[in-house]
Amino acid sequence: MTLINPGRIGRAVLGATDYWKGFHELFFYTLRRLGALGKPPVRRVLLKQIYFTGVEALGAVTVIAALSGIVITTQVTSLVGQNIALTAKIMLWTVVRELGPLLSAIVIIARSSSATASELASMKIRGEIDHLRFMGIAPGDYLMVPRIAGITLSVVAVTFYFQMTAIVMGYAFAAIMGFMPFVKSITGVISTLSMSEVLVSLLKALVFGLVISITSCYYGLRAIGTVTAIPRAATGAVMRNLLTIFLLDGIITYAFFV
Amino acid sequence: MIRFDHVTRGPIRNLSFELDRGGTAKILFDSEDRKNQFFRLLTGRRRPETGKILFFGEDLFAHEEDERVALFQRIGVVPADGGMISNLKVWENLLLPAWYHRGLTAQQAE
Repeated sequence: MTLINPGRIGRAVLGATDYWKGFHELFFYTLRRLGALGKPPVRRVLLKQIYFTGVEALGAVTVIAALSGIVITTQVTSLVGQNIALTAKIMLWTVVRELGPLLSAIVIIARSSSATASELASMKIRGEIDHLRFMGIAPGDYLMVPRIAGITLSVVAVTFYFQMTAIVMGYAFAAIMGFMPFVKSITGVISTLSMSEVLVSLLKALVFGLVISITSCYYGLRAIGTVTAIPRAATGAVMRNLLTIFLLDGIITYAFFV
Repeated sequence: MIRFDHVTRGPIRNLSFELDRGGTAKILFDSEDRKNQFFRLLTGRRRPETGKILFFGEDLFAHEEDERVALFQRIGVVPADGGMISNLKVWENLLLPAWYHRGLTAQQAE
């Protein structure tokens, strides 16, 4: 019985190399072609993407954020009693530094990453990328740039919204249950919060947004063959995104907080 | 207007022809591979291994990708499957080139 399959390891390494090469090309293409957002049809795609990725995700994000905040305040109070300063610190460490960017990214991966990869894969297989070329429209400008910009902006906005909702709802629940006063607790969080923590959390959100959007476009646009390539593009994008954002979360956390 | 000058790539070997403005040509291939490869060369998606493809007297591949794509504002292509974008309505498909290239609003394009 073969315990280690060199062929599988080799394919994984080649796959990862192809991915990072493709990621690098798409990233710099987007930076060079951001001016395409000035064209009205491209702006329309951008706005639709922001609506689908950001606005439509708010329902799920609100519920997850509220429950996260409630769980954190309840757990901390059960462990250390009413301690406004310690609760504020733990709220910042967990929600602002980690849970906000990570859980927001996971919600968006689940909703938008698979949808974007599937849509682009479907267009590729049906030859619609060429149809855009025949209209004299660069497919990257019309399909990729607004999706990458839209998803990235949405991840940053949704992350900020998650953090605010988790903190407010967590303390609101604690106040209703009589654990600690609401206004004093919020004031405690604001006084403990530093600008660097906010900026690092938004940096994480920006990086996660770029990774999610570019990875989804990469997997969508490399689909070839029959319709079975569409779900493969979707699952490939989701799995790659999950692995990459957890890796990057660890790297950014270590770089800024250790 | 369109000239293939000893173009070779994959199953296409040493292809040469010229099509002037107003001219008509019917090109038949004995295999799907050759037909697809020819179409990729003609639409600027694949670079020839040898030879040149000239559009309006200029080497197609002397241009960057976005300039090659922009040439299709001067050349019409009618794909066999209709050439539509599936996530747009029919009238949006018809308006998209005018809306995109001429900077018109959607209402102006209509």
